[in-house]
Amino acid sequence: MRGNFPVPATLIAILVLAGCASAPVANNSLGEAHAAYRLAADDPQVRVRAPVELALAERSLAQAERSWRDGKDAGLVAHQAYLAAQRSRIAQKTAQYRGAEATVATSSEQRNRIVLEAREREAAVAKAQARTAQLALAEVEAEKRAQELGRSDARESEPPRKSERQKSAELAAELRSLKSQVADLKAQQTGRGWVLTLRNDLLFDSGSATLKPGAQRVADNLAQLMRRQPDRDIAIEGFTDSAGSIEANRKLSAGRAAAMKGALVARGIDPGRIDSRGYGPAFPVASNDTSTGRQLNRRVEIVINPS
Amino acid sequence: MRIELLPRIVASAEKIAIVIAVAAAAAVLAAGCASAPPPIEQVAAARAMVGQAQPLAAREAPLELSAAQTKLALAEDAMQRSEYEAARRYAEQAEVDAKLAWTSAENARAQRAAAEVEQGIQTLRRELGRRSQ
Repeated sequence: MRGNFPVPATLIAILVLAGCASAPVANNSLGEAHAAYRLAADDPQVRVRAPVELALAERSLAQAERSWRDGKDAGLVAHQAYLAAQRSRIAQKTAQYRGAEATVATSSEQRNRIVLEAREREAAVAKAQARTAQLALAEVEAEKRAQELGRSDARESEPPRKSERQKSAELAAELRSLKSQVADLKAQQTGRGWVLTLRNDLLFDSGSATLKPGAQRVADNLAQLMRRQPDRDIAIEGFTDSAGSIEANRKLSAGRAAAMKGALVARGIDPGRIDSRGYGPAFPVASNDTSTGRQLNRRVEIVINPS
Repeated sequence: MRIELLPRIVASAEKIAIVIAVAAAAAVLAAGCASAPPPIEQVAAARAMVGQAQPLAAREAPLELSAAQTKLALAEDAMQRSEYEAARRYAEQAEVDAKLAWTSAENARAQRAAAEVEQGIQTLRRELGRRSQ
């Protein structure tokens, strides 16, 4: 950068100005201006990033050449050639620094792309792992079914069908026992069936969709309930409070519901029986204006469908 | 230069014709230089550009900056002596020198910033690559 500063050209120009020197010197400085201009003009980056500066250098060079052809005073020619050479160098440096600034400006975009690519890779790995787990699970289930089939063959007849009333009484009893085992679990009977509400901060760390150790126990109990109630499907729904972007919250709540579903599947529950969704800040159960309200809104709801 | 040469040349009587010729040429040149209008705008532009370049170029491009400063001083000197043509040329050169000093300094700064950003991205790429394996 500093190395190519034209000391000879400067000296020549100063000498020329001081003494109003001879024609060969003027010719020499014209040659130097030509070289400096070619260096800039042959660089495609200069044409793209500093076209105005390059055009100014070109005009300066043309002016110096005209003065020389017209037999103008050698000092003037050398002076104009010097200006042309310096303007060519300015064009080159301008293109270089604009290039560097463009690199800095696009870096955040590049950073985002790298993060996104990494996430996609991780998702693909997770998907492959889930598929392997599912295949293993299917094998286990097939084996179990074969065993049960053998057992029922041995039996004379099927047990008598349970009544609707009996079934719901059984479920209520199950939920009571679940409530006694899981702290802070709320169970309510609604139009959609039974809804269990779990507070997010018991299941997940803030901002994370990975189940905490305590949540694994909840999954154990829930899986047990689902095995005892084989003809009831469930829906797992994630919710957040209204802090932060809707889209990010929606993704986070969906990831948490999916994590809970994954824990149940890992415990041998058929994934087809579990629907998982994330709603983000939609459907709040309390006001988002108070911290207590926000805590109530950060939740996972498990809806147990009527059989 | 003319003043120093004069006595020596005068000593040679045969060269009086040459003395007259040189003196005439010098007079024409000086007159030609002096007849130009005072380059007030050019000197002001040079001064402004040197002022703009100074803070950054003092560290990043000291050679280019000092060339500009020297020529600006010469231009102001020539203005004092009413040598307007010389003043104009010095001022024009001081301005392009200062502009080059400023651009070189900006470039050095931007190249460093770009290198830092580049390195940050390399680090990120390495870390993410490790995590996904």
